[in-house]
Parts: sequence; C-alpha cells; structure tokens
Amino acid sequence: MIRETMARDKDKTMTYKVNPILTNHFVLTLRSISKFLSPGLLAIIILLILALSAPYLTPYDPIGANLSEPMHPPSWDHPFGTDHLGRDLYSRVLYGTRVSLLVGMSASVMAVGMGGLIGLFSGYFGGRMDSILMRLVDTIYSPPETILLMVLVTMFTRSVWTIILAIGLTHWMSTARLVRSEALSIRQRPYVESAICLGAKDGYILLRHIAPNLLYIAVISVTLMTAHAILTESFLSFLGLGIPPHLPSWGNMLNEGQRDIMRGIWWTTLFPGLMIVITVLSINLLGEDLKRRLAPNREGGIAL
Amino acid sequence: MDRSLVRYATKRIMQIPPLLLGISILTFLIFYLSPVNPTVAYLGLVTVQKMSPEDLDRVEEQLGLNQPAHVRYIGWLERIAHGDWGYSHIKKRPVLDVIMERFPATLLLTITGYSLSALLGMMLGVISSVRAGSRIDSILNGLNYIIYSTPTFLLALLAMLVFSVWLGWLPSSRMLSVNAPTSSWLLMQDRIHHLILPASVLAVGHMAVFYTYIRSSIIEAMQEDYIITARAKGLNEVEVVLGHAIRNSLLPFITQMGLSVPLLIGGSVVVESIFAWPGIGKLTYDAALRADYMLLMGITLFSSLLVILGNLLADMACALTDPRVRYD
Repeated sequence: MIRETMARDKDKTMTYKVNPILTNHFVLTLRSISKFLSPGLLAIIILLILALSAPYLTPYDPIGANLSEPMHPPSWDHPFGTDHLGRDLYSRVLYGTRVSLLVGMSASVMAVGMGGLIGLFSGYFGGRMDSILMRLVDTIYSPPETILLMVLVTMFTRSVWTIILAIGLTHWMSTARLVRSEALSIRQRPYVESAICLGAKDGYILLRHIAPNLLYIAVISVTLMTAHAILTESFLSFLGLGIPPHLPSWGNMLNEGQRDIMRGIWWTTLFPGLMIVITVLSINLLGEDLKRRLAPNREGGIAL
Repeated sequence: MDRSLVRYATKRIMQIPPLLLGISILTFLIFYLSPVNPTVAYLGLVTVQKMSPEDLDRVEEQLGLNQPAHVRYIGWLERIAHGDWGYSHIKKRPVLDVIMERFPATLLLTITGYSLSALLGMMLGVISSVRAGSRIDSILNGLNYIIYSTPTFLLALLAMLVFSVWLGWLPSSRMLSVNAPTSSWLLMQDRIHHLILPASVLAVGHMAVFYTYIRSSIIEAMQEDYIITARAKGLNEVEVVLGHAIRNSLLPFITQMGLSVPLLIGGSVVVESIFAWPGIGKLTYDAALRADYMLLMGITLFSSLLVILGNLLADMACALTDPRVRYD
C-alpha cells in the first residue's frame, strides 16, 4: 500500500522508491529479457553473429584490391556493388561490423567504467576530492566534444586503440555526474548510516551497498554509450581522422563514398550508411527497453 | 532590476574564471603530453625540415621550449591573454585572425540551421504531443528515432546526392558561386541558394533533440491543474495548447537551446567540411588533417569560450523567466 502511494507520488526527489527492489528487479529483468527478446536485442545478436562469422559469409577479400572490376553497381555477384578499387562492398560492410562493434563497445565500457568509478568516489567521499573531480568534469565538458576528439586523435599516433581511448576519455563525464548524484543520495540512506555505525569500512560499503544499487545505471549507460561511440567512430573515420584507412570500417567506406557521390555513385555511401543506422538504432532501442525495465519509475531518465 | 537576479548573475559569472583556468590547463596539457614536437607545432613541418640544427636550437631557445612545463604554461597563457594565439602555418596568418575571419560564416550557418531546427522540432513536437498515442504520434516518434540514430554526415551525403547530383537544384559546396554576381541583391540570392542545403541538413540533424524535449514537456504540462482550469473556463483545445501548455514548456526549451552550443559546433564541423562552407568547422577539419596544432589549440579555446557563453546565456534566460531558479 505504501509503495503504491509512493509510486503515485510524482515528487522528483523521491527516487529511492525504485531502489529497495532493484537487485531483485535486475534479476527479474534478465529473466524477462531471455523470455521476450526485444527487437533491439534480436538485431544486435544478429549483428554480433554477422561480425563473428564474417569470413564464412563473404566470398571476397575485404582488403585486397581487384582493379579489374571497379565501381560495379549492385549485382548478383556483388550484392552491394564494388568500390573504386574493385573491392566487394558486401564483404567490407560485414567486416566493418567487427570494427564498429569492437570500437563502440570498448570505448563505451571504458567511458562508463571510468565515469562510474570517479562518480562513485566523488559522491561517496565528498569534500575536497568531490569538488576537485567535479571541477574536472566541468572543465572537460567545456570544449565541444567533437573538437576535443579531433584534437586528441590528431596529436596522438593513429590506431584503433587511440580511437577507443580518445572516445573513452571524452565521454565519461555524464556517467560520472549521474553516478555521483545517486551515490550522494544513497550514502544518506538509513541502511548506509547503520552500516557506518556498525563500523563497516568504506570499501565494504561501496561494494556492498552503493555499487550494486547503481548497477542499473551502468547497464543502461553502457548500452546507450555504445550507440553514441559507434556514431562517433564513424564520424571520425568519415573525416579521415579515425580508424586507419586500410581497415574496413563503415566510416572509412563513407569517406571514400563522399568522393563518388558527386559522380552519382550511390551504393558506396548507402550500404555502409544503412548499416550504421540499423546498428545504432537497434542499440538505442535496446537501451530504451532496458531503461523501461530497469528504471521504470525514474523521472527525467538516464540521458547521455 | 531585481536584486536576486543580480546576485544570481554575479554568482554565476564568478564561476567562469576558474573554468577558464581549467580549460587553459587542459589545452596546454594535451599539447604538452602529446608526442608532437613543439617546434614543428609552432613552425610547421615543412619549415622545420629546411632549418639547420643550430637554427632549430636558437628557435627553441627563443620560444622557451627547453624550459620546464609550468614556465612554458605561464608564458603561453600570457601570450594568449595578449591576443597572441600563435601562428597558423597552413593559413600563414595569426591564429586569432583566421578564427575571427571564419567565425561569421559559421554564425550564419548555425543560426539559420538552429532556428530552422527549433521551429521544425517544435512544430512536430506539438503535433505529436497533442495527439499523444495516436498513429501520427507513433510515426513521428519512429521517424525521430531513425533521425537520432543517423549520423549527420550521412544525411548530408544523401541530401547532396538527391538535391545536387540527381535533381541539380542546389549547389553542393562553398558559400558563393565561382563567378559570383556583383550586385548586392544577386549576391545575397546566391548566398541563400548556397545556404539552403547545409542549413537544412543541420536543422534535420538536430531536430530530434528539440522534438523530444518539446513533446515530453507538453505531455507533462497537459497533466497540470492549470490545464484543467483552462479547459474548465471554456477555452478550446488550440487555445489551451498554444496559450497554456507551450508557454510553460518554453522555459526548458530556451535552456536547451543555450546548452546545445557544443552539439552545434560539432554539427558545423560535419556540415561545413562536407559542403566546403568556409567557417570554423571547416577550419578545424583542415587543421586536423594537416596537423596545424596551434590552430587546433586556438579553436579549442575559442569553442570552449562559446560553450561557456551559451551556458551562461541559458542560465540567465532561465533565471530571468523563472524566479525560482535564482534561489537554488
């Protein structure tokens, strides 16, 4: 009854109404996901299978040039056509799935992990460390993300790992802010206070009481951030500042497609572009789905 | 003027100097920690390759590059404060001059794109929030989702393909035609003609943010008591929505506009580099591709200033319209 009353209450400060059942809720959610595959999840599983089995699904070499048939429009032999070096676009697009998913997921795990840790410490310990860390967040937030990224990738040697690192280092701040404010509010709950009174150490409280209550934020943030990181990677590669150009990444293909488009050649742009949209869309759908299930009562939601 | 507003403004403006200091340290640190050779950064690779080792030593001495980091930082900060932002070796001119020269073009493009975007997002947001749950709402939501998941550069490329290459209606690059007309009236026409495509791409690319914002805030507002009152006193639905619901949604909308400055700058990099629009975004792209580090540092500082200004304006607009904010 009390819970129902509270659920009806629209006061924004009462976020704790979700938390008592959260751990339980998380298990429930995992179970219901396995029962009802959401369309987003299904699409991602298909993409993962495509990425892993790319060598078995593609008859052509994604990297080697075949100058005898450049710029072929889509046909039965080459379902997505070929590019200016005669490389089969279908093979390249499939291999591109690997690069995009690898970069997207690693960068996102890195960003959320870093942001989560910083936010956790900042919110739990408070005081001077908190204010220093939050000023750091404000500072890194000030230059536009795009500019900061372009500066980072220009100044450091370019490789897949540089891109992952650059995206990770420029995207942790939103998670840090979110986790910090949540940690701050959990810290003041009676059960944490009683744990402190009983002499529990900081590490124990963080691991046992605070981190588990914030797990849902991490799950949702990693998902949404992956979509964002894939977009960011493709953008950098498109500008010619991302993944080294010989590797088949969707952004790199679009970079080459940009030259062809003025000649009316559409397939070098359309197919890699469509793959980006499909991937990002399905990850975003999964993220929204997770949001609905893991934090149904949360107002304002978890934005990036 | 209201005293609380003045107090709020003072408090808010006082937060800026430490932030500026932080940004300058951040910019310097990235530059300092990167494997880039500072002499190359100051003079450009081509110049450095032509110089003898003795000359290089002398230049390093002059630029103070052999001094410890904090001395270099303070020296750099002093030069920045005096308006000496370094020398762009790809443009062969001082960095600040180049940025200032390019800024109006970006301003024209982003303000046009932004206004279009806000207008479009607001219109669609109102339509779908008034008919929340209907078929048109779900179509608009789906469309919004797809646009949100589409990179702006893909939109730009497709728009270019359709409108410049296939239909041939609009020019695909630059701000003016090569043989630009001389009379001012025709010049303006030519400029608008070049502006349509990049501005629309920017507008559609950013629409999703505005749309989501206005839709959710109107839906929230429609559940408030004053809407029931408005209906009870006999206003029709149009008056209720336009006179009461939207009015209260405008506040977060204004804030949102101020806070989107970083997104807009990001968007201008994409759109300007694709459509060869001679603004800050294209400049950043050129600087990054041709490794003009001084120019990149200058752009980082300059764009951070814009973001801070945008945030300040958003907060002030918010405080001006909603007195509650001033007492936080």
